Amino acid sequence: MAEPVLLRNVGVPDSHKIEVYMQRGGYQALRKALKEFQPAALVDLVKRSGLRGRGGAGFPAGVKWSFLPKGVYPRYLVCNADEGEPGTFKDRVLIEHDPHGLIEGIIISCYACEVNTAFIYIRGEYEFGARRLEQAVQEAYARGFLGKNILGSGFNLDLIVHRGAGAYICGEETGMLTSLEGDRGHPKLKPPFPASEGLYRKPTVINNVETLFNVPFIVERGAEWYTSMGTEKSPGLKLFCISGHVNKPGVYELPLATPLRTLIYDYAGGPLEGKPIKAIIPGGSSTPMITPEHLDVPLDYESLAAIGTMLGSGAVVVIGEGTCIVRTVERLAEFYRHESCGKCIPCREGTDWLYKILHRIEHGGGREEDLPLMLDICNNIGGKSFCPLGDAALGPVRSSIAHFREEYLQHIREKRCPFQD
Amino acid sequence: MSIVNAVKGFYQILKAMAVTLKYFFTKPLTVQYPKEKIRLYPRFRGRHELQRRPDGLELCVGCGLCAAICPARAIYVEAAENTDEARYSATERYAGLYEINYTRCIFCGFCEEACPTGALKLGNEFALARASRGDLVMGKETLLQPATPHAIILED
Amino acid sequence: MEVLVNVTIDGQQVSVRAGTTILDAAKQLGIPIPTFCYYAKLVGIGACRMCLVEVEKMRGLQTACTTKVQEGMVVRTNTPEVVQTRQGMLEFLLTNHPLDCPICDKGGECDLQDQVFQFGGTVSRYVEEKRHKAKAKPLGPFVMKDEERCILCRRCIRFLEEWPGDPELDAFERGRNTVVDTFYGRPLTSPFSGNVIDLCPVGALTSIPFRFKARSWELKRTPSICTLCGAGCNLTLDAKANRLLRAVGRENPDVNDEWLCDRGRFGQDYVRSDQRLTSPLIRKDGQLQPATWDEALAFAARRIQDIAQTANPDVVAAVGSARASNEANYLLQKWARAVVGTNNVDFAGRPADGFAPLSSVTAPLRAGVVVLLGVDPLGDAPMVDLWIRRAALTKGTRVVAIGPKRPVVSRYGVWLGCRPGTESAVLAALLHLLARDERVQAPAKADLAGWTKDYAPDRVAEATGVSVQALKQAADFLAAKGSPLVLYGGGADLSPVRDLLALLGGEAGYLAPKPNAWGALLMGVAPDRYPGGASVEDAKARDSFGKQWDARLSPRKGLALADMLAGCREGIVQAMLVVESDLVREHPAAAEALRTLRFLVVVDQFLTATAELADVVLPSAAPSETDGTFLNLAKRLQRAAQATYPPKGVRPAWRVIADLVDAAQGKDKKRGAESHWDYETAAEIWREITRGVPVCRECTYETIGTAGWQPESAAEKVKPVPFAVEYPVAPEGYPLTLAAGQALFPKATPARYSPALAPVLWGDVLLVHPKDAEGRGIKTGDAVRVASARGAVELKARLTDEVVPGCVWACLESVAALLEAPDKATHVKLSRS
Repeated sequence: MAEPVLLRNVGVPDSHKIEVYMQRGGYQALRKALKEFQPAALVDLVKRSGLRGRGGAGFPAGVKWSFLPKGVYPRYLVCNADEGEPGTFKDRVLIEHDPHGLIEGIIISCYACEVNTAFIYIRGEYEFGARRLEQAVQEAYARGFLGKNILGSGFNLDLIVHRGAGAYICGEETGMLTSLEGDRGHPKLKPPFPASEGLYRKPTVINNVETLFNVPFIVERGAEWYTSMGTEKSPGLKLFCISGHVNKPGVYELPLATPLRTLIYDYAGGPLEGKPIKAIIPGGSSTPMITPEHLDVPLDYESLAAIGTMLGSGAVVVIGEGTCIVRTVERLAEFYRHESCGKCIPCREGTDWLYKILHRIEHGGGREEDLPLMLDICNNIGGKSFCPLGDAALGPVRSSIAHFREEYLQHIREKRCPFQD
Repeated sequence: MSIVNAVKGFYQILKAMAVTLKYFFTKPLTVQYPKEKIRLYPRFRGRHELQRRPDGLELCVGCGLCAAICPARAIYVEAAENTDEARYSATERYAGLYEINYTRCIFCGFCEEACPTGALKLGNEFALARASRGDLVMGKETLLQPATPHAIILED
Repeated sequence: MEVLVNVTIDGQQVSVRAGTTILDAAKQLGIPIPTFCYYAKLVGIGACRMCLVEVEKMRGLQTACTTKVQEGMVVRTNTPEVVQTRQGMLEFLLTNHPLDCPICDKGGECDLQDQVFQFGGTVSRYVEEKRHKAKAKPLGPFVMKDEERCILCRRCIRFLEEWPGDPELDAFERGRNTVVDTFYGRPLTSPFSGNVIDLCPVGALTSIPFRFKARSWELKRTPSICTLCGAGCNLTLDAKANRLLRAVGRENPDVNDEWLCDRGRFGQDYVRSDQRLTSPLIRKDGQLQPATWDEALAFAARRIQDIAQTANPDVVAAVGSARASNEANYLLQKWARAVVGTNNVDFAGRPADGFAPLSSVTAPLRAGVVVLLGVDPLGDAPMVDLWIRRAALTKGTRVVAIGPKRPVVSRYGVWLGCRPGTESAVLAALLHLLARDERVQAPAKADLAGWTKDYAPDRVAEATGVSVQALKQAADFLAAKGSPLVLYGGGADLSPVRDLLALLGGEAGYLAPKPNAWGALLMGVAPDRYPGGASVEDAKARDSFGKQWDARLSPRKGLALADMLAGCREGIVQAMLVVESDLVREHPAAAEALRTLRFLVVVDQFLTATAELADVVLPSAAPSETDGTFLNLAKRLQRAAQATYPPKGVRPAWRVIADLVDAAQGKDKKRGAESHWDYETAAEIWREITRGVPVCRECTYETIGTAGWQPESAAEKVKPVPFAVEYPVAPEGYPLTLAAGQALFPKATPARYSPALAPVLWGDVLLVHPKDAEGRGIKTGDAVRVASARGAVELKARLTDEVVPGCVWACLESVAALLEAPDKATHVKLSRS
């Protein structure tokens, strides 16, 4: 196993304290960035590194930064720490064990984007993480890494930790912005995109925790170091959260394009109780599930897209044999219907309907026509909902019907769940 | 010629008398109404009857669709709102005023078809003669009464 | 310059302005695109996904309501995918929409019904249990909410945010559980709340007064106008079986856009009040008793004739009304002048000389600052209030309110709370500051600086009770924004207003609280003017009207209303005909004056306080029961059309006057061409009016149409004038000042008779500042006695800081008897009773 980079401070005693962080070389990248780089050069550096957004969509971070309209101030940066995707817990580890790493990444990114006010929007459930972050922000202020004239560079930055109230939709960038503005967390129309008109109708950069966390390392070690890992289009390191029926679930740091099999067998200790794997959700609950025949797929954005699924947030959920797929999908559908914000019709009504059908099938009330009906409902949601939440809800439904149609039919024929005694 | 005609005529008379004679011994069609009951086909359309639910509440919700469809404009409905103290129908709304003007009604039955709750049925009461026109405008009290027709309903 | 872009929609080409949405472009081509959340007058949110269309070179479907057209864009609205999407969205909506259309008040005019009919599928595939939410939950006094029917288009929420600026509604809960509600379950109190009923595309928000009254297809719809204030909002009156059941807004961008205030929307049902007069009344043995029309008319005509003949015609007076139509007012003055032979004609609320109408009801949209000079538009003309709010919300217009009571719209600016009667001094202080402000550039600046030197802010502050800081803030708004719109009320002193206009430009207008103040004036209901405005002393005009009316007209000016009332006691006026005017509740001296009359005839819809004093009462039709024209506060000529027939035994006021003349001429009068009083319809009277009144010469009922007609008016050049302000001095024993005005739901005729408004009517309430209440031991809800030199009334106190210390405020109707003049603040004392 290679020396961890992103997770280097995880497990170190008191790693969340600024003294420990600095002892271990923290805030050196910030010094370097402020001393050696002009903001534009930093943007260029990140662009060259090929760093892609780690929130799920995989949009290149440097390109996103360069979309900011020139000469419009103030600008804001919002760190998306609303880690709501079921199966994903990588940001939590970073926030709780290495908050200063994130803060350093934010400071450098803000310097690159000429932002003087930044927010960390952390999900309401991460109370512990929020407290750690708030403490770390105070420490950073005390040491002069935040506030006026940081390290004598003339660069000012205020960083505000904002706790959400527990809504998946606030992980969607415009939903997060409306929530941050004090309004109901509802997605807003795009265009205008946040980069040109975001928080308080000003240009706004929104990046995931992990994305920002990568920035100090790129500054320290250079773009070439970063592109030396992974593939050409998906370079660098990625945190994978593996959960479900494996022996050692957890967060693992691997270069992109590592095969799925390596992650499951070499790192996560293989399937639980040696049971064969039935299905794998490769990138968080919204990504379509795959079957074990794809175990050798390299975990990068392109390879997974090629087999009809997504890398997403890198949350791998392993589903072992003996698990009821219908029950699993029903549970996921319940999550999405609970989290649909209610703004648009297809998502609000469609997720509810899907859940009701799945619930009925699982509890013995299924009908033959339910499968085509569900696919039809998926078609009426897909690409038609206001924000990606609607599409997210379809991944498990569509893929499970595609791969496990027979299991559904068994439920329908037997009028019961075959996995329940 | 006249004799031939006379014979022919006599023959015709005999023929007619034979018919008369034949019916003289068959059962007559005339019904001694009202002493006897009239025979009606089951889909005969007579006076409207407003229906009730098994629990006694009115089925009519006062939607006015019968009045809307009525080609003779014979129906007038004014809805009202149920309260907890006075409940007439199962929903929020009931027919506060429901009138059918039988000087206008043509018994087409469209109203029955338009009714979304099945509250309206054209029954088999046909004895609708009244002494004044005013009595021919019948309100809810009358229409809610099931008919007591002087009729025997035939098989469909 | 306008940039046009070419787009192709369903193969048809169209050139539209850049920035147009696909939806609007399609509308121009007549291509229907279904929508729910879209509403032309609200900001688009693209939430309902009904309007999704295919756009070439764009990934996925696009919302037509928010996507702007671009040059060369190719749009398709009829592809299988679009059709399928619409069906899908409608299917989704119907999954949880209760199919209780038969009992839903929206049935028949429901967007969801219509769109399912036009674009929906045919078979329901939904077999699950529908969601259940609250049904029939009242949101305030007028709006009923059914949560199950709601499709969450947020039109209601957005309207309240974007137009009146009363964000009282919002969505609560999340996802499928989302409901629209008020915060903390408070009642919906926006004065414009009724509009959400019209906006709601389904039956989620329905009208409580109209609840279950009729189905939409049963209604006879009459385009008309509202006559409950001076704005003259356009509306449609809906009646079933000759009963006026509801009013809905009608589009007219120059007046009310398409909105109505709650007074106008729900108050029209006063015509159905069971207190309506349905038979003439004659006073017999001291009691008013029902009589036949022939009896009452003959008696009234004979008595007036007798009195006029025994004394002289000038002992008879006629009082018209700003509530009555032009036709009724015209006939009234024609009766007085041509039949009786006197110029004693006037009405309460006649715009004073020099008063000007507003340029338009929408004038606030063009103003930088709206200056409210002692008026509250929410009471006097709610639609003007809405336009002020809209201007403030969309254009940053500021409000400077000067007066003893704080108007709601002052939240968009500053309230210069001053003691009643000192408004001019406050304006003078503003002029003082502006004349010394660098930002103001006007030739009159130097003059004004001199004239206003005695009105330095601190001095005025001391004399009026206004704060210096607020004065400076107001002056800053005026200097920064310019182009003020000054709205003033009845008793306003116009000199400082003129100076303000000379300094900053802009306009000023009289906020007429009654529907036809300008019309009655134009119709010649004035002691010195003929219809059209010619003086009665002008021999040429006298000849011309004399010839037209076939009578010898009096060359003497008549008595104005105040003089008439003063003259009653001295016998100068002995008989009076009052048409649709509740003088007792509006005019201080009226009650005692009318009691001394020898003969009083009142024509009105109700037995008002004035009618109770009459010898003969003749019931008249409401504006919705006859045709008539009205001139609103912007002098826009509009028609109130007949929506229902008057109740049996009730005649339109114009017919009553004509019948009175016929009755006077006796049984052997000749019908037909020889009589000038043989009118069959109101339109005939209007034709006669157009012959005598040059302004509306070209106007017929047809050309006025349903949209109304706005005569051209040239803006006057304003000349600054020097002025002096007199501060009112409180007499011994009367430490407080009473100001009277109008509330949104006033107890004025006819709104006081509306069943729907009954629960919200402004009671006999007296607003008292806590400071004034303290020493007197008054608490909210206490009965208090407020007394002036003229008399005393009992009212219920309400403590509030909406009024300035030293001032008490009540609705004009409650305290008319105490006032010195209808528009004048009066010194009073206050005690617990």
